Amino acid sequence: MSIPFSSFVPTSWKSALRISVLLVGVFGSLLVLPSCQDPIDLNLPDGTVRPIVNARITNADSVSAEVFWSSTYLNQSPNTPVSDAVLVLYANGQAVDTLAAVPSKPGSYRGTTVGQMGNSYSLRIWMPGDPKPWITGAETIRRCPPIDSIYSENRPRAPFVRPGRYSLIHFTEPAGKGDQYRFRVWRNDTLENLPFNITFFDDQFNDGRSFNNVDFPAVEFAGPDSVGVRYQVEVSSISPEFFQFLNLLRQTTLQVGSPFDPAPALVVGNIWREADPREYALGYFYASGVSRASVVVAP
Amino acid sequence: MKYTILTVLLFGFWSQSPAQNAGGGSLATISGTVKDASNGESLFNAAVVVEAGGKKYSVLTNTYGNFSLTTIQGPVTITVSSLGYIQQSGKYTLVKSNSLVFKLKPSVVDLDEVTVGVERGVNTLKTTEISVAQISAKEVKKLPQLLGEADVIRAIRLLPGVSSVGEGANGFNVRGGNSDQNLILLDEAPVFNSSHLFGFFSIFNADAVRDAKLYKGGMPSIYGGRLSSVLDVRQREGNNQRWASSGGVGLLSSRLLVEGPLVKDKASVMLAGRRSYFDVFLPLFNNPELAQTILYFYDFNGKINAQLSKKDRVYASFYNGRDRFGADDLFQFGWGNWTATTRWNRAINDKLFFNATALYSDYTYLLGTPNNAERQFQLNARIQNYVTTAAWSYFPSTKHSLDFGVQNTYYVFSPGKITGAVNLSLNQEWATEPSAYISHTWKATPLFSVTSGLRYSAFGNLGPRTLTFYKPGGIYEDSTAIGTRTYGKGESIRWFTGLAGLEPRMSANLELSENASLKASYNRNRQYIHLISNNTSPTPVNVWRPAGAYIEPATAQQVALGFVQKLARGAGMLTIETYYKGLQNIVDYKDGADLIFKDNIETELLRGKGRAYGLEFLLEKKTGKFNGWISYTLSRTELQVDGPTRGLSVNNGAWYLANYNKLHDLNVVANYAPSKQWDLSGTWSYQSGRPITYPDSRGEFEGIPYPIYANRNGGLTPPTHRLDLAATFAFKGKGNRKPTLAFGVYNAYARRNPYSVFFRQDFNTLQVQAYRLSVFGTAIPYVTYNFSF
Repeated sequence: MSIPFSSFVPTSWKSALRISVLLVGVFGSLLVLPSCQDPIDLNLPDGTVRPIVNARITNADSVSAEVFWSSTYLNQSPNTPVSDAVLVLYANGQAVDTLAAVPSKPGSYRGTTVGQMGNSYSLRIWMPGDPKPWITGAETIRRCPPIDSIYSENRPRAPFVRPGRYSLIHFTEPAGKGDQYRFRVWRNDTLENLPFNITFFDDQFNDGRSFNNVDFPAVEFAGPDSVGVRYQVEVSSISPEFFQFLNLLRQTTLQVGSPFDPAPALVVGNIWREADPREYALGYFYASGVSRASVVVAP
Repeated sequence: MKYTILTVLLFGFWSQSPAQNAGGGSLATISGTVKDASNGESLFNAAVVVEAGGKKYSVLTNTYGNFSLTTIQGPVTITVSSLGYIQQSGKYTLVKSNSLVFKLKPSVVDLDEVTVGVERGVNTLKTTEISVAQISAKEVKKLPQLLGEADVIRAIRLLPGVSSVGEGANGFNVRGGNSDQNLILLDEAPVFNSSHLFGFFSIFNADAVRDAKLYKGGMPSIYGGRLSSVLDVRQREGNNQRWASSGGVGLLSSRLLVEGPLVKDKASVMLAGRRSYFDVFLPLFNNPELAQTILYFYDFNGKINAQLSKKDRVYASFYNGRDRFGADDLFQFGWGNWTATTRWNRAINDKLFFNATALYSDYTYLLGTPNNAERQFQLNARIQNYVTTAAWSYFPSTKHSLDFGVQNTYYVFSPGKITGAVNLSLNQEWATEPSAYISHTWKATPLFSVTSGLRYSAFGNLGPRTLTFYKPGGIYEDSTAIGTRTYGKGESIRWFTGLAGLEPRMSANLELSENASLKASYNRNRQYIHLISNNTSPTPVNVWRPAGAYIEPATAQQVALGFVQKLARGAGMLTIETYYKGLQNIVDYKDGADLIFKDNIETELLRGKGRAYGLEFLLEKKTGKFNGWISYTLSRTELQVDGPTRGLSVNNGAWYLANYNKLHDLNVVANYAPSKQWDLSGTWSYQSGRPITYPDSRGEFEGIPYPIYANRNGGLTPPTHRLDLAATFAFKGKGNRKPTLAFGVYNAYARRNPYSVFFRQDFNTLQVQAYRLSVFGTAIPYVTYNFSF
């Protein structure tokens, strides 16, 4: 048996608990009484336009970023990319790299620095026409366990289980509490990138344990699928702050529409005005160690 | 100066002799009990009026049906009345103190208007009670019901000053208080989750309940531990005259109550049970997954009481209720309460009554996989209460009465324990809350009376526990943690003592005329435990946590002014009240707070203050073939969380509306009995929209758009309104033992009231659509057959 991955975080007991509570609430209320959801027309206020900076550095890839301006919530156009921002990377407090705009992709920037395990990184950002810089919190690249194995297996029909081939990985969480991880999955080279694909977990309940079907169940990350589908899986170590950001992002985009959902919350990352920490920008800058593996679903 | 005034109000009566009270004549005390003649149960809040020497003296029976009244010797006229009973009146010659038992017969039809006018006049116009509402099980059963379940809490939401965040929400809000600020008592035992089925029904089986009394303000000093209200629900004592049973079969559940005398007139027992049966019908849906679904709740209520001697009476009661929900081999989920109360009442003499109570309350929930599942896990959480109380009531003269006592509450908090494939446990917490109180009611003049009280409480958070310490500065985050310390068993982690534990209470009544009175009250309340929930409405998995090293006790101060006017020969009553409440150290939550299975819960909490004010109107007519009430509340509740950083503030420290704020709340309740067989009723409710957080811009993270909720509770849901209708047909039968058929429809015109508004975004086109979530999307009919033997 494995822990299903596709709809929620696979190995986090806490997330499983949270989702279980959600399922219980939604399922319960649907069973009990004829609740319903109807589309309605609503006018929303126009909020402040803020910078959005999503940036990352890993021990496998050089630093990169995307910069936009935020838009009103009902606007159906994509956020406006910002091509003439200035982004400077700091390693352990020293400026080490200035990111260059990627001409073919407006709003994208890339540097040459590849992250090193144990180093602490941050960014200073100048938006066009604004002399007051924005800064990010410092992020440290942490240890990340290797993926021990990746494979697919067949599952018969069972209650709440559709039959077919499921893909799984084995890995071992290193001993010592305080680690957090994020999973990303590419299906046929396309990143699965919808809110319910946001998957992350911490080692609060499984510190030092092996997800190998002996100690703990293997981690199921996809399925059921057709034979021949190719998957790449990335496990990355993340900071507690980024964990919290992902948690809030997931909650804000997914946990809506039931009487048992938490109140909507402001998703703020680790970017703020250097001169006034109460003034925030959107997005997140994170640093990670990564492990990757791939598999083709076999007959 | 203020201490002098307090001393005079609390102890001023000692300077007056009883002879002065009675106007110079010889005195005698009439004490005793008022009972229901049909079943021997004690009657609470019955009015005893004694007319002697051209003057009227009145008193209300206490919770146990007892009263004591000292008056001058000689010819007296005693009138005893209670709502729903035939008034009893008689002339006596009082030559010495007497103990009397009055047995009132229930009225088969509604009392005439004059009779009830007397009783209600005493209750409302003469007492210092303000901001109090009492509702009997009989009244609750008359109201239209959701799926046929008579519900005490749904009924009190129809009163002014009481609201909820939405239909089907768990709990209720009183005068700007959060739902965890209500002290809900069942036979004096605190109930930590008063709901079945995620909040759709309350745990109170109307068959087993005698009455419920809600204090929205002016709380007597015997009550403490919560900021905003006390809902005191009392179970029936059981018929001590004959064996009887009653019950009902409805769409949602069936129920049965059996009661009878163990020793006639001396001892009785009551047992009641209720079980829902949704799960029985699920296989009919021909869906194998639904067929494996477990979904039901049950309740058991029991009470036994015995008159050991003329002066001693003992009670023991319990409640056990639980919800179970799950899928056969996937998950299971359950929650429920246990309460047990034992009580000894003793009439030490005709002026002094003693009451000793020991009680236990226990709320648990369990979430996990079935025991036989591979790699099973189970999460258990629990809160336990052990309460002991010694209370005295002293009636030295007609002008004075005194209540005083001591109490200790011992808490055990078990916020989470996981067993199975992994074994983990959050730190348990232990706490004790000793308190003492005194309350003095002084009828200073025939037209003016005042009740002044003082409660003192302390709170100790005790070990064993491993406590995390943080850097100085008061910012509690994982990143500021610097170490831990382990406390031994019983070792003090933090005590809350000193003057902050004083809770003065005062209420006063000034009779402007025979038909009108003016009332005022002040109370300070302190709350040491908090329900940790950032959901719109609490869920069964939310846990209670105590004040301690990092969580402060919350306090509230409330002033209220009221005006009561009797209308049209006493048949109606108009009550107008206004209030202001200030709240300190209330708990709020960081954006995206992670509250599930969290040891250092202080890292997710914020501390703020609040203010609530409002105006309430209640126009009621409780007699005649056509009766009911109209209630209207105009109110506003605001909160402020202004911390040292943006993340520790809400809306950058500005005041914002509480999510249960309702500007307008109107309820119309009408009952009509065209014949002895038919009883018709309807309720119509209107509430303005509640505050909700709308997104005002769109962020993006690695291609995933997300809403920016920058202004907490800055928007409003659309207003809600609903009509419920009910009819009861009584079949032929003897006396009150007529079977009835109750039927009706909830949400009669199928209004889709918004519980909340939320947004969904198409992640490809970025198109956003707003949705209204309605808990009750259609009209919901019900039919229930009730019987009694």
